Amino acid sequence: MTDQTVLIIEDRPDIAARLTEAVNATDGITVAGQAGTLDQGINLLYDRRPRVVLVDIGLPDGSGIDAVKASAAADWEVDALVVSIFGDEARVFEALQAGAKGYILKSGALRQIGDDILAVLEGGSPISPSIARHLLSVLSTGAAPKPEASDSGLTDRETEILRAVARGYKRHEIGTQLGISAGTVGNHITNIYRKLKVGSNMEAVVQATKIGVL
Amino acid sequence: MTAQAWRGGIVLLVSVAVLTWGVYALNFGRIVPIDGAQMFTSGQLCAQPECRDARPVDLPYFAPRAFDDALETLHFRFEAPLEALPDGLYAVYLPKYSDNLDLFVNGALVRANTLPLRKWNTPLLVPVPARLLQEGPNRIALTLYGPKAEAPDLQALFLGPYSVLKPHYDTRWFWGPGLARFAFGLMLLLSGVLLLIWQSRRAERGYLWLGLSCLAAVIFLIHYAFGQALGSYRIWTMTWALSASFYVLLVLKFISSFLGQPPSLAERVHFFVLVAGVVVILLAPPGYSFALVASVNVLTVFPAVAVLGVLWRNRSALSPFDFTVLALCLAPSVALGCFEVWMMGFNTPSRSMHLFHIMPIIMSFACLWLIVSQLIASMGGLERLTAAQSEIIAAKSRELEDSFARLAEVEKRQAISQERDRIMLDLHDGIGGHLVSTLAYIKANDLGDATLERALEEALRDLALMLDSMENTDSLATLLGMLRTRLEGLLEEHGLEFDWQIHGEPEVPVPGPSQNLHVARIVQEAITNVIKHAKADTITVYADEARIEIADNGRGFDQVAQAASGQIGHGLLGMKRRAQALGVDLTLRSDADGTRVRLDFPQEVRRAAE
Repeated sequence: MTDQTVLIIEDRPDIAARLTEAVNATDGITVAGQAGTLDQGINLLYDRRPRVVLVDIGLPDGSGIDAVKASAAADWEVDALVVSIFGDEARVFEALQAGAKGYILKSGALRQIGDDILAVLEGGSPISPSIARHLLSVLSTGAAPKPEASDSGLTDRETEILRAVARGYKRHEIGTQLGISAGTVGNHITNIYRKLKVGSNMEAVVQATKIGVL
Repeated sequence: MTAQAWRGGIVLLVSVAVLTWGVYALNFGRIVPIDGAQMFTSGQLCAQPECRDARPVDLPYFAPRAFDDALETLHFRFEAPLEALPDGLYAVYLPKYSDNLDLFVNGALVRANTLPLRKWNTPLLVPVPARLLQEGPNRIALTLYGPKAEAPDLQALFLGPYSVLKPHYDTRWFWGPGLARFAFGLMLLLSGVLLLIWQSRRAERGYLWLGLSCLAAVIFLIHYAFGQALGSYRIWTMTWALSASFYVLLVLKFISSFLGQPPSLAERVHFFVLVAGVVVILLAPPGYSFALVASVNVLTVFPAVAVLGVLWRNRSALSPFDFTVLALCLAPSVALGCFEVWMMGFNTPSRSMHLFHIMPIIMSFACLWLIVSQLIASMGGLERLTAAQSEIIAAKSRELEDSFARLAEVEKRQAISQERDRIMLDLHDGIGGHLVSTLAYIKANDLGDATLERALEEALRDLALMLDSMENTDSLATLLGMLRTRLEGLLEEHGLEFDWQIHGEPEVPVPGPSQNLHVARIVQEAITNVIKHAKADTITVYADEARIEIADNGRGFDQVAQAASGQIGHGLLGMKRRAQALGVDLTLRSDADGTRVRLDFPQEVRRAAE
């Protein structure tokens, strides 16, 4: 089986080097290209057609969000992950709305970066307690939890999962608590992200941004 | 009609009957002998002016009533013997006669008639010069004029000293035309004022009805006060007599509109009878005018009583006091009306004084009282309304002030929030970026300085904790979760793992970002202490509403020994200091099974604050 390709768009060379190291140290993924600017990054995206894109938001010639959007609109299967220093919710959220599958921490251990990328390939998405809490407040706004999945509202199970994540529980711990697999938990989170992107609750996000929650 | 309404109607009728009888029994102005004056209760009625044929008559004398509007002319002659010539001025006093007369003393004319004035209720005092009188027999002759239709009359007359008769004359004049003139003036004034008020308040018909009723009173009061006839006998008789009935109609209309009653059938009947009466009178021979107006007035009594019945039923619209005033005025007014009708209809020999002109004064008082009472009530209402409005305005002003204050607070918070965001972004991209970059550089180039690397990692963790605490101001549980994700890698490096037990949202005594940060730092310090010293493989972090506990399964340490040797670490002291500042109990227990740091949040403090 050939390795899945990863494109890295990051302007700080040391961090780019570290990300490259992390990807190459992980079985099953390999770096397909590396860009220091948005322009170069988007060119490489179409040129190399990678399976995964790691994007830094603060690029010298623009916002990494544009690269996320380009990935979301691409005609092949490509997952964008935001490269964040702290995984802080405001910018990760913006990226999630643009279609990102999650985020990875620049400062994280090499193994964690690799694991996070593999998790995305397996259908799960990285999430932090802070982001879970924020998702709860945005996606539950004005709507009671619904028994069945819908485009925007959260299901009871999704709410349950987000609550556990917000309290710091790991994917496998949640799986054990709920009697489901860690992968299923990851799938739920991917679903929730999708709702954030297509959800009709954008107004709530706008409001939340205005009142300074984000 | 209910029993109550019947009872009320009966009470009203009985009181009217009693009052009418009272007026009759009191017999105001009855003509009685006057000390010091001669009273003539009998005389001679002559067939001709020169009195060739005469017959004796007793006073009071009433001419036979005839349906004829021509003037009756009657010649009377009285013999008045005087024992001595008087010293002072003498006078002839006629308390009641109708309608006008010429007076002769010993053949000399001392008073000529003032026709066409009709002095039907006015006393007359005619001074008689002493030179006209003589010792012995004197003759008083008078020629009486009056409409045949109304049966001219002559009541007992007096001859005596002017000074003796004058007070009697004055008193009678005051109660008769005097009071009627006062009423006339009052009604004229009231009608003007009320109609002016109505002009500016067209919607309030009550003023119109009352003003018009006063005008009607003015018309019949001309007859009572001045004896002035306006127009022909027929027209004037019709005008003044029917204006009384109009007056009644209008006053009742005022009271109905005051009580908020719609026009009743009885009112329409009343009006129709009046209009029909006018038509009949205009068509009938003038000699019947007086009899006809009297009949119309009697007829309109019935609808008037019916209206009174309606008013009685709706008396609850008035306050009890107002109703009492109205009833106290209405009953005597009706009684005076009945008395007048009776006097005019039956030529009562023994009753000589008309009192009907007092009625409008009483009724106007009642109606004005109603208006004033309503005015007082509405002023009270206005005051209450004003007071209520002031209260509302004050409340609204307070609300406005509050919302302004809140708005200012929100703006302030927004400004703070924006500033905070900017600082966080700077920390994040600036310092954070540099730290990550540097760390990546060190690792990438394998510079191998573990101390530097650890210091950089700690700085990064601390910065992350600060940022997390600012992003999760409302949830300590999430902040702890973030702390876990930050420390997970470090734990893994040291072969440790978390047993994560967050069961609830810990309730810090005073909630807020810095308080949360303090708590998180205590927890972080406890965890790093375990990593550094405990030689454990599991760190249990437990949290619920009341407490947070960090426990390990390491070797523990001897607190007493450590305290004695002064080896208690800076970290531990820092934790205790922070806990104290937060108002949180920190307990530390260590034995061979491990170490346990426990934070207890005083629940009662928080509950009391809520």
